[in-house]
Amino acid sequence: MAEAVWVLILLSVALFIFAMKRKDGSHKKGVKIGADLFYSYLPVLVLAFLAAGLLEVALPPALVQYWLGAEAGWRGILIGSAAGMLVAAGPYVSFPIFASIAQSGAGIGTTVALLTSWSVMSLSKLPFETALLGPRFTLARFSLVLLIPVIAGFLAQLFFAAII
Amino acid sequence: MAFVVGKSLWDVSRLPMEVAIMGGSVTAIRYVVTFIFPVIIGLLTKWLYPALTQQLLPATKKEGEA
Repeated sequence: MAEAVWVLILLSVALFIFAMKRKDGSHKKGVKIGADLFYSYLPVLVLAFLAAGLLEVALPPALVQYWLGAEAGWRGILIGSAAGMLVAAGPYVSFPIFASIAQSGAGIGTTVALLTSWSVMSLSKLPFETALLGPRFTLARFSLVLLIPVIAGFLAQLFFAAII
Repeated sequence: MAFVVGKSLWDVSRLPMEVAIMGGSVTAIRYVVTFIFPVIIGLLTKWLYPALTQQLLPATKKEGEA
C-alpha cells in the first residue's frame, strides 16, 4: 500500500508540473476534474470498499487458498479467468473486489488472470461493442482473446510467484 | 483489433486506480505479462480473419477522407 501511495504521489506531482508548464491553466482544470470525479464516485467507492471488506470476511481464507491460491495451479488460473469475465462492473467496484480476493490468499497467477479476464472479456462490455463495432468483430475478438487471461496468469505465476 | 485489445488491457485512465487498490507490484506484473498481446492479436486477426480486415478497411478509409 505504501509503495502505491509513493507511485501515485510521484505520478501526480509529475503530471501537475507538466500541466503547469503549459501555462494555460491546465493544472487548475486537471485538479478540478479530479475533484469532480472524486465527488461523483465517492458513494460508489464507499459501497465498493464496504462490499469488498464484507467479502473478505465472507470468503473463508482456506477455501480461497484451496481454489485460487498458488497451490491451486491451473485450477486457480482457470477459475480466475472465468470469474473475471462475469464481473460486470467498472474499475471502481471491481478493483476492491479483486483486491479482497487477493488479500484472502489468491495467488499472483489467479489475480492477474482475474484482472486480465475482466479487462478484455467482461461480458458487460459486449452489448456496446456489438452495437458499435458489429457482431463479427466482437466474435472474432472474443475468439482471439479467450486464452490471454490464462496465458497471462500462467506467466505471472511462473515468473513472479517467487518474488511477490 | 490491436487498438481495442490494447485499450482494454492498458487503459491509462484506470492505471492510478489499479495501482492504488491492487498495489504497484500486481499492476506492474499484469502490465509486463500482457505487454505483447495487443500486437499478437492484431497480427492474428490479419492472419486468421483476412475477410474481416478487408471489410473494415473501406470504413477506415472513408473516415480518413471525410
